[in-house]
Amino acid sequence: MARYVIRFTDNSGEPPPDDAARVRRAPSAKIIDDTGRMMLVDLDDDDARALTKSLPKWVVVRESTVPVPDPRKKLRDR
Amino acid sequence: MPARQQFIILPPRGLQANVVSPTPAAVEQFLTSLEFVRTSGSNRKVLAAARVPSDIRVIDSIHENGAKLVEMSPESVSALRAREPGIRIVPVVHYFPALAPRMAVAKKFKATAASTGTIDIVVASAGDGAPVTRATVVAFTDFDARVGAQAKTNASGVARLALGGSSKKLERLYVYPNGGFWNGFRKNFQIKTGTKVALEPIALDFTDCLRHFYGNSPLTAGSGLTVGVVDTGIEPHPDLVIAGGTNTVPGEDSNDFGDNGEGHGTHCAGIIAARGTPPHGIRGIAPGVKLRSYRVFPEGDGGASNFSIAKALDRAVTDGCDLINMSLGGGPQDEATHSAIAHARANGVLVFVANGNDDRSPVSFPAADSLAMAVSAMGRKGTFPPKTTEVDDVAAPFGKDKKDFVASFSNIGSETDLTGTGVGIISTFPGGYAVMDGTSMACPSAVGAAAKLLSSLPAITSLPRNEARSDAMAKAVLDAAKPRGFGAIFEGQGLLV
Repeated sequence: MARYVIRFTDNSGEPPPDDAARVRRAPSAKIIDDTGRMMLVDLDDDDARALTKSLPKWVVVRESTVPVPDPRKKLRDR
Repeated sequence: MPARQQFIILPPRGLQANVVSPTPAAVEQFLTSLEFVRTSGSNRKVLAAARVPSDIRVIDSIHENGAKLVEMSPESVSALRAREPGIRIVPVVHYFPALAPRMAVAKKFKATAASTGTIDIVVASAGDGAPVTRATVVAFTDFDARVGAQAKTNASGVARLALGGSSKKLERLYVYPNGGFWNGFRKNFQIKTGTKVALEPIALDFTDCLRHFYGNSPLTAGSGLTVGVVDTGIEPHPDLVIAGGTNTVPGEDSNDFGDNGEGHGTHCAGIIAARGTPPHGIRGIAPGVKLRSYRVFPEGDGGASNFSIAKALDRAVTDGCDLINMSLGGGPQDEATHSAIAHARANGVLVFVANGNDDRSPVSFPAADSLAMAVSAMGRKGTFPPKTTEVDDVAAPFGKDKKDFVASFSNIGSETDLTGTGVGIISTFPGGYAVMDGTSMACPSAVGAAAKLLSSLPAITSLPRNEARSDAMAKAVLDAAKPRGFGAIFEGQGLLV
């Protein structure tokens, strides 16, 4: 299981309701957040791959993070 | 003359105009012009007739109005981004087999039997001599290897450094206070227990780099525009008026869009919109804007997720923001973030992103996204006190005015659209004021200057909220910027003043 961001990428329209339903029906899906055009979902990798193939107007990517920018000089990690 | 490189020129979405979504007529016309250049030969007459930069060579094409493989200089890339803001220009990237990275061995400071022990130094105000508490002290005995010791000052201003012995010669000493003072910097500095390091208190009427270029803007500057700050949140502050916002971190209260304690977002917000008057407060570049806070960094020290960032961008668009400041980045390209930037752009909103602070590394993502406005950091000698860390940020290239420089930490590359003031910037901070450095500070300075400019151009801001509007705003901003003489990969179209 991993946390995925699933986002509708066609900016000229609204996401079809059937698409979101398809995500919810994925066997391993646990919806964490849903904004309408984007969902945060816990999924296993097989379900993520299947959704990538079946939802061409959506991107399915792993959740990732960036730290607060900090240009201060640091000691090298030991 | 910088070397020519290969780039791909694309419509805003997809590989061909009007396939994924409607493409602005000007963009399709330009792509078709490039096709004409490709098929007719890149001689001067053809290039001039097609209004294409003179050093461009069109190598390949996937369709008459589709993506083009071209070769050109970074200067031409920058000029083209300014002239045709609706197109995407991405560098050609080559992929190689993913070999496992070699592990680097860090040199540890080795204490011998004769040199065990700690050294207590005292950090105090250069004004009244009072101890400076909670300052981070970083002492390097070998700067190149980043070897040394680090500590925070206690209630007496004492930092206990595990360096061994009773005295030590430091190659460099950096002191980072938690607001209220300029950072401290010493080079080739002998310390022993009891050594005092004095920090300069912040004077709110000091002419820092930002105030050198922008002075104190009238309170109406930027009026009519709404600016969203996607960051650590904005803390309530006497100099700031926060119109609203949201927290997009999953699991946190969506109404908690105050600063998460880092102070980073509050500092960025003040650069854009602070409404104070020196010497009792500070003034941002566009104090007349409506300021909104979108917190994407969680409580504690966690990172901002691509989901939080994309959700914040969507909300800022829905809330009617005209400009969005994103002083964050790093890591690989992310399609969710790219899609959210494209969504903002398609809805008439410009997203400004900091280039990153990795010491002249390539522009980081999402600043490197072709639809983002990427901002590098510049500084100016004489706009910070001596013995501060800003001294260490001075590096070539210097500008036409030799006091101007591109900050040593700033990332650079052909994706850079603008430069901004990012060295030794005084701004709002939770509980007071702080000096900070970074492309994080340069980015809001560009946003503030853009807001100030665009508020005087109602013919553009009153356009329907679509791609043509954001393209027109980008073009106005890039046309108005003035090169400081660093070169396009360092400053894009220059500084917007």
